[in-house]
Amino acid sequence: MVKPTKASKSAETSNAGTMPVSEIAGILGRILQRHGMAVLEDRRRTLGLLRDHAPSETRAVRLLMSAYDMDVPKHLAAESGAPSQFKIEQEVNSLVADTGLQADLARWAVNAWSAALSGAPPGSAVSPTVVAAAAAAAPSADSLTWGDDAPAVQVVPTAAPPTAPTVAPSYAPPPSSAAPTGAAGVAAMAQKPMFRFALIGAAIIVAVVGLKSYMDTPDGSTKPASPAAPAQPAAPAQPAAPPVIVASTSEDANQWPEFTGAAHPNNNPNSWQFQFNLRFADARVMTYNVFVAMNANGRAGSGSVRALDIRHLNDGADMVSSTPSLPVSREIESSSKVYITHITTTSWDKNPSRAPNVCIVFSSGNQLRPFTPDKGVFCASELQGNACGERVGCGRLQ
Amino acid sequence: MVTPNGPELAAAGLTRRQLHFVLAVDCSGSMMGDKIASLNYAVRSAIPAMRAAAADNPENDVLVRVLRFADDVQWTVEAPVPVDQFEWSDLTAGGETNMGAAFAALAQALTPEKMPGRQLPPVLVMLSDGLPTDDAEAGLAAFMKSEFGAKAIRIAVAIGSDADKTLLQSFIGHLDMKPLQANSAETLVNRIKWAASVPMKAASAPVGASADPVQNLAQGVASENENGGELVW
Repeated sequence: MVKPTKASKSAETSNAGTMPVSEIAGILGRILQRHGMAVLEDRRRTLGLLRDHAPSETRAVRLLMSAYDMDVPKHLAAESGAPSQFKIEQEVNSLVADTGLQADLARWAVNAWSAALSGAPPGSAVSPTVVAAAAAAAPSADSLTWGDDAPAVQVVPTAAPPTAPTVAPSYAPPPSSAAPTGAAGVAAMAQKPMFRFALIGAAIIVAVVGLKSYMDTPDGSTKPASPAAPAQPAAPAQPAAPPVIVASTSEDANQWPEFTGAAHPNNNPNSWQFQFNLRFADARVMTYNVFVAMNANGRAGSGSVRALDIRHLNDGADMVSSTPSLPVSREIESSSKVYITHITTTSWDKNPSRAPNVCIVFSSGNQLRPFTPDKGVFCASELQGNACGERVGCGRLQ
Repeated sequence: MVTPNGPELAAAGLTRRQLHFVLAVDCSGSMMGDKIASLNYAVRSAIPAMRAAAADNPENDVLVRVLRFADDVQWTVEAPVPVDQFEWSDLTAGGETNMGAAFAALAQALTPEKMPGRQLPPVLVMLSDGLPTDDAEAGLAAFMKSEFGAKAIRIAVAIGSDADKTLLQSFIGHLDMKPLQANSAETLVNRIKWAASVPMKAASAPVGASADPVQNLAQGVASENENGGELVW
């Protein structure tokens, strides 16, 4: 006999008062255990079972079925192991864009399905930190992280072309700090085999620590753990921090600096992530990280932006500004197949870095083919009122 | 009530006819709370109307049975009980909606072997708020193949606005007759009172009184549904 569960408030409860993620994930897990994954092929049965097992949770059931109707369980089940935080965010963004759900409700539903399907506690999705740390294990590792919930910051693009204009920050981070200085050191030393070995070891430690901190967090999607400082190999002394490269205000695209690390998250060609640095009129340098997922029609989508004043690089995730899910639009010029995608930070969920609102436009740098993360271009301008104002900088993506 | 149903009367064609009235009640988890409480109250309060309907046709014996289904299927009133002896025991809800198994159980029970003697078309009333969680179509197909299943007057009460009316419509099997819709405790009481009495009268109406008793019932259902009442469920 099924024992339906009443909702109880907890930290996992969304703003809208739905039941805790762990509770509904437990119910879903029991349904899947009893009927197998095949039950998900039958919408009526899935809905009937949810209603029977959680009779007092009409709202929760509707949220779960909204996600079901957008194939969220299918997408998550296609992942091997616990879905990555990127995947979670991608599904949340799609759900927000396609159904009009509020972001917190969409996240609740995606987290519930994710936890039920992976059998892992809610919020244990592999965080960007872990992804970044794993990536750092590659010989050309060149990034640090802001904390468990934040993507990698590219302060010093090692692949910047020699001709790229660099702007020295007026406030160099202290040499002893672990973040930008460490990144510079890592970049410089990564060519040495012994150092690479040490780096890989350090990255694994970061990955384990990051994963554990997420597992310990009730809802990993909303409460990042304290930043995991990358373990420093004991070997060489850190060289001085190189200058921070910021986007250029030049009209000549050949003068625009390159920013590495643009990617299709999870190899999904409809999603992009990239980051760059902007210097504003008040001399502040902000790093912006853009995540965009387009709908199937390719003309609209949703995205989010994170920003950090680089003076706060060592302050961990607490100083990371982040937007809610934002609409993304795209113009497609069919004759030349130039795709121009727009995202504007009209609001912030939290903005401890006091990041200015910006209009970000990105597109292909080559008119003969659609934008790809490599060899793309972007420009950012400050949002003034409701309009995109003066250009702050442009750059190229590699 | 004495029912002179002996073999000598049967041979003479003078035995009383039986009208089996079967309530099939969804007791799954989604019925918990207000719905099952309202249903218990509604059936209890419908009993006088059932008896009155039976009394209008004293030449027939009205026999009542009750089937509940959730995780499993159970006859809570297994042996047919004369309506004037019928008492309602409150049902509780919990579990999944194995409606297909319920149809199969009805098919097994509504056979000439288990319903000997002269029979009027049975009246089956299905009360459900939910979506079946088993293979309901297979169960329904088996039910429709049974002799009395196909001949029965089948009434469905959809409890709540999101009950699976498509399946309930398949159960009714008559294009013009829709499920009775009950979206609140008040309307559920009214629907059950109607379902427990009016179809019984239609089934026991003298031959020739109506060309198609189901057609008349369909009009009655439509009329009932016009007064939808408050949308609570």
